[in-house]
Amino acid sequence: MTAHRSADLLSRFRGDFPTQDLDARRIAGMLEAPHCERRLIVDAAALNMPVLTDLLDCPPAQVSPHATRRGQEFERRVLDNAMDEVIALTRTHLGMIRTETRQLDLSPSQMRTQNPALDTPAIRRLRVARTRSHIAAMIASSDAALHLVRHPLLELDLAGVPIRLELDVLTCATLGRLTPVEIKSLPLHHHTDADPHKVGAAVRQIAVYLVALRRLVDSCGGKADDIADQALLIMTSGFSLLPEARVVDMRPHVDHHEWVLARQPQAALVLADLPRDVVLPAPPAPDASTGQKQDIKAATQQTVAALPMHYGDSCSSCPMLKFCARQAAAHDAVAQLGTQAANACGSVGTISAAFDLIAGRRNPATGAERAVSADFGRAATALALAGVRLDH
Amino acid sequence: MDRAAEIKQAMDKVAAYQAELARAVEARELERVNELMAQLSVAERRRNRLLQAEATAAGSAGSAPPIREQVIAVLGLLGSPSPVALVRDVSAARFGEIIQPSRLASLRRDEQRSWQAAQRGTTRSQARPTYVTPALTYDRFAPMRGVLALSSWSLEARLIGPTSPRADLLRVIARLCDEADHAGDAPWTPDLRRLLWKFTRTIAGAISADDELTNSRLRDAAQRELGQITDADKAERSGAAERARRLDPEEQLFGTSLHVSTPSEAAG
Repeated sequence: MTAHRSADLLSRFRGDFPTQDLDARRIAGMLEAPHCERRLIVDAAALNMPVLTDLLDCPPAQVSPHATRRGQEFERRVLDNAMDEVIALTRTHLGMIRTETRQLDLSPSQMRTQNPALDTPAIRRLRVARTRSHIAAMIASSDAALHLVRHPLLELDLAGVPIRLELDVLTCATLGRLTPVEIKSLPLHHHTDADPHKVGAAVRQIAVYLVALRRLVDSCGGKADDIADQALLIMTSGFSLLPEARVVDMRPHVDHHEWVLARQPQAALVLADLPRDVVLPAPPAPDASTGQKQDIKAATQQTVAALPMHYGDSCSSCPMLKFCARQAAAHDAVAQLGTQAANACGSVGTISAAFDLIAGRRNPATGAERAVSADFGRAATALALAGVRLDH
Repeated sequence: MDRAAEIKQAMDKVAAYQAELARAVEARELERVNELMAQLSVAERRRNRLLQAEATAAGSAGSAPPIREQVIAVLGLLGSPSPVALVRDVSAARFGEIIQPSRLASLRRDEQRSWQAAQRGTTRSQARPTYVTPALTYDRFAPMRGVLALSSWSLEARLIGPTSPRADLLRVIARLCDEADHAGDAPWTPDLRRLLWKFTRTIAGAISADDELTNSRLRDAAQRELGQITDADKAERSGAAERARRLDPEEQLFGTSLHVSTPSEAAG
């Protein structure tokens, strides 16, 4: 199945629904729920997530405008003045030497100013091409190689669909290896370090860049050794806006992402299994009547519900969580009780079926049903002995 | 009608249109909303004109000089192409003048237009000695976003190669150290030292545990680092300048928008 076919099917499925550029955070979120075909298709089709979640009656992502502003201001401070803060931190943490300061800015605004005649897709292609040519020079350690590239654009194949990812900074010492630098306005406290949950999310995001970088280096004829197993994570010193950095080990995360991506089904295969009329409607116009809005909302929910989901513990950070949770509840799915319970029940999909087997209201027929009946029967007996009554 | 009453009336009119607009939005009278938005925009423009005129008239002693004069003064002090953020920081620290980013946005276009008008012959007498220009990339001679230079500088100085941003920053730091040395007890000295302190952390050898920060120490550290990269930087810049001299005078100052794509870029 070709990328072309995937793009065609995704385009048909998307219809006139608005799209949104994907970023590494969203891809990392998708890889956290690797078996969910629903999330795969929603991301491969690059659907606009806020518009979609609104139509699915899911709560909007809560991002504080203050936090956003703080993040932007911090990134600006770190990257301003010829990236002097990044240069200082790479010298301390990555062993860059004083003469290694050759740099280039590939950020969209810079490229638009330099190439006013090009439209947005052409600017993207130009950024990808220049990223590629500079990375080829960096791994060849040529004299013209750069040491710091600001906002390079990498490509990654997601379920047969190419997507583009923007890294904060890519560094390479002459005798070193390609190392990504990510800037996050997370406060780094001297006694407690940074919030491990947020650092973990940042690390998973950087791992997506590294997967894309591995593919790019490979296609340029480079070796796996050309890329570092680590990344530099620049955070704020306490609640100030002074930068501090930590080197993080990336190998386990990158290997995990590689493993998951290699097993992702092709978007085309998932969509080919669906009826041809599973197509998203265009979102309602602002001046649409309440009735029209309700109709479009219902049609959107029906279309998304037709995509196979894999509801479980790993869905906790997915923006569509509430929609899938409601669907799981409506189907009385065992998955509502968590991945462990769902695994224990095997092919016994509903809670009422499991209780029927446990209570002996139904005779087990398959191997899974016999196992559920026996395991949970023993547990029910233990609970009964402990004085707990099962009323289901 | 005196000026204060005129301003009051203009502001009341804006408030009345806003209230009416809110009511129309609430009642979903879309045609009325469009009409009110047009009227509001006219009323706002009139109010802004009156308020700006008032502010200019009132602030004769403390009012800021025109934006281009501010930028030229700062760039003259810095001596090398500099990022807009640094120009703003230095303007605030050394001259106590806040440069509004929104006013910088139109500066480049205004300067280019003014240069073009001066070249047309009829208004040649209006040609200015110096224009604020964008620094240019060394490979394609395209205008760089957010890096400013002066037209009076040599072409080599206005072209930015891969090493130039760091080299120029180090040159600027050395110039700021000189400025701080000459400042003595001037009122801006503390602000300038605070700005220099920011750079101290990012230059190798500028700070040590037992030594207090001094301007000469920072300048020496900056110049030591500059010494290691300046030859490579100058070679790339002068090579680029040789090629850039074939461009017409306007392109040499304001850059070319000609896009030359490599085969791999064209293939996308």
